[in-house]
Amino acid sequence: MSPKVSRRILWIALLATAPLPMWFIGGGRLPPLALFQISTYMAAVFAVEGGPGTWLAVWVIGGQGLLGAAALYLVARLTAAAAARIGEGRVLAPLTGALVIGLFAMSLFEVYHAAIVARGEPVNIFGAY
Amino acid sequence: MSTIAWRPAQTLLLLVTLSPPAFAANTSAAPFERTERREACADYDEMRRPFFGDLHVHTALSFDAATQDTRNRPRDAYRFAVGERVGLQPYDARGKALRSAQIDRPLDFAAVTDHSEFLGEVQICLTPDMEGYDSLVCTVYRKWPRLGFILFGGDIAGVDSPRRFQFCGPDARSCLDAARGPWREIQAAAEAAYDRSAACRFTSFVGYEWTGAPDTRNLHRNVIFRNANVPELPVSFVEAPYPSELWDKLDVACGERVSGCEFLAIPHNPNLSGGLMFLDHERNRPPFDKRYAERRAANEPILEITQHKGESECQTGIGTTDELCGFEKLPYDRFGGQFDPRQVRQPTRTNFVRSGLSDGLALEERLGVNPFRFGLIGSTDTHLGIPGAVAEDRHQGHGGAGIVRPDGKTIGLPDNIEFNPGGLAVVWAEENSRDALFAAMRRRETYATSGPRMTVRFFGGWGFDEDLCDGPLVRQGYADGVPMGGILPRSSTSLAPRFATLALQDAAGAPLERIQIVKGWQDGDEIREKVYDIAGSPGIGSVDTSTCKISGAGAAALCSTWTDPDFDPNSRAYYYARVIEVPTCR
Repeated sequence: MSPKVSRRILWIALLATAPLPMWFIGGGRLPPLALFQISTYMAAVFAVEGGPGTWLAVWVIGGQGLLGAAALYLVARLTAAAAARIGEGRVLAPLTGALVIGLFAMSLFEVYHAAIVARGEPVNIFGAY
Repeated sequence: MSTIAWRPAQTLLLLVTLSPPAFAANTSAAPFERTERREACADYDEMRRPFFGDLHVHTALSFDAATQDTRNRPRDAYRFAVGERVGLQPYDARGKALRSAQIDRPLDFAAVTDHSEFLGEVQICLTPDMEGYDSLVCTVYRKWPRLGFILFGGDIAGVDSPRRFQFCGPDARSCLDAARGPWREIQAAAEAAYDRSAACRFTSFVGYEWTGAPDTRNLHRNVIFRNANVPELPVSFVEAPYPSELWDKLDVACGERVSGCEFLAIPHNPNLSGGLMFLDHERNRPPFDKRYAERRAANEPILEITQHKGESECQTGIGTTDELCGFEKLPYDRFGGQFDPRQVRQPTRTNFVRSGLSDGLALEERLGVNPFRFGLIGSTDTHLGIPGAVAEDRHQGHGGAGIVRPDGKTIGLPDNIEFNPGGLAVVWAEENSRDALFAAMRRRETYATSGPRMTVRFFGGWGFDEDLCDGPLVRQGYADGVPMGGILPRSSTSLAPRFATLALQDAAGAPLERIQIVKGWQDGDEIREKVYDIAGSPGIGSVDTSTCKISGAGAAALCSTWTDPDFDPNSRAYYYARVIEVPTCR
């Protein structure tokens, strides 16, 4: 496995699972992909119904998702680079796999919460999406 | 130890007295008209009694309450009002409520006033077999309720030009058809709760809330119907984007199409109107004319001055130095200020009732009719379906009330920190029936409380004895004067009017500190105001904020006759009484 592939796998796993803080519309912690899911729905509603509040929600939620995605890309890049240096790259694949499994295992716990999801109650990854 | 603050409970009453030109006295001697079949009340009292109620109540049928997982329906709200315990969110996976509430003293009357906007839309979005259930809007509404609230409340009810969602179909037919179910449910619940026996224990009114808030500036009105004769469907903000159009369309839908149908509209939360509530024109429209003024005075005889989203009497520093105008104020002037920092604006003068009372005098000078001649009530505006839940030590919120985890622990506060438990409407009527209460509201013989159940009488007249408090105050008050909400006819003499005020403390509440009379009058082109202490005195009682124990010499009853020392027979004026309890914990 190349560091580039490792980086992409880690980034996707982080996008799907990392409980990043969000600030607007009540705040909370959600993965960027959940924010993209919500803003995509809101964009579709805006396309059909219009409405300034809906448009604002699209950008506020989607914008936070984009910021989170950018930050997680850096995290994935640094992590993949560090992992590639361990054992001269021989353990990169199992290390990447272990990190991904660890992230998804963490996501099974109620580490997410947001005012816009499940009425603010703590949820696991299934409740976050 | 809970956080507590000084809180002067107060009662607000209104009595308008006008000098030139003369008006016929709006005395209450005439009996009310009976418009419905029911047993006569056994405890009819021609000297009237105070009935305590709540005319602003939301249940699961309201689009916003539903997004907060409120599950109490109109029948549950009435069950709560008469003393039964009801469940509150959150609910566990089996649908069992993890919180509950029970009122400490049953109410005498109530009206469920769910938002008329989206009655059908909510029904469609929450009923799997209805067409439209799978629409994008409904999917968002169910999956992300808070965003659903923005969609419904912000983009439809909070804009200048309201409209229906696409999924409502041509002419919004499917949503209007879907609204019939909840509207029937509201009527059926009111009928089931109404005590038509001679005991007259409880009165319910059919009602709804017209939810117009252009640019999130609140112009909401609660519409209350006199009896069971009501329109086929409520007239909402979408069909009638202006208050005057609401009256016009109700005149047709209620007055013309349904025999025996009568309504009144109750504005609320001027404090969140962005200054629109007491302008001399409707937004983007020309100034009021005489006909508008007459219609507003006739259709909107009372106004809700206090509720859980703040108090609207006045605000210290905004056109007044009255030190008691700092009571339960919100730090923004419109709904948007709660959600969007860009919309936080300081309230202005026309956010408050006192400006309406004052400007009404000037408008009367110009038009010959005062459009802002209203009595006052309080209510809760609960969105949990728990009318009259005003107890501060058991307050569980009214706005969906926060987030409570399934393990029962509350995250944060039980409601927005700036909110309070709300108030009550008090109506002086001969009996506890729809006709008697409705007639009392029409003649404005009502008052507002911030929760306590004080009993307050307030009469104005030209010939009251100075020692009326020692005599037959009520009988003479009605016979020789006018009660709260009344209009004093012009006097043939230059004598000043005398006011008699009697206040009894809430038997389950705090003693009384004082009674004040607030007067506003025209002085040339200017409106002036003055606050008079007429009984009791400030500071006679206090509260230990660490224990909430009250000490001092508050009174169980206060009574006073007061003659206006600054009376000018040539200027128009209004007077209202304010009764203040000794401070208590909030």
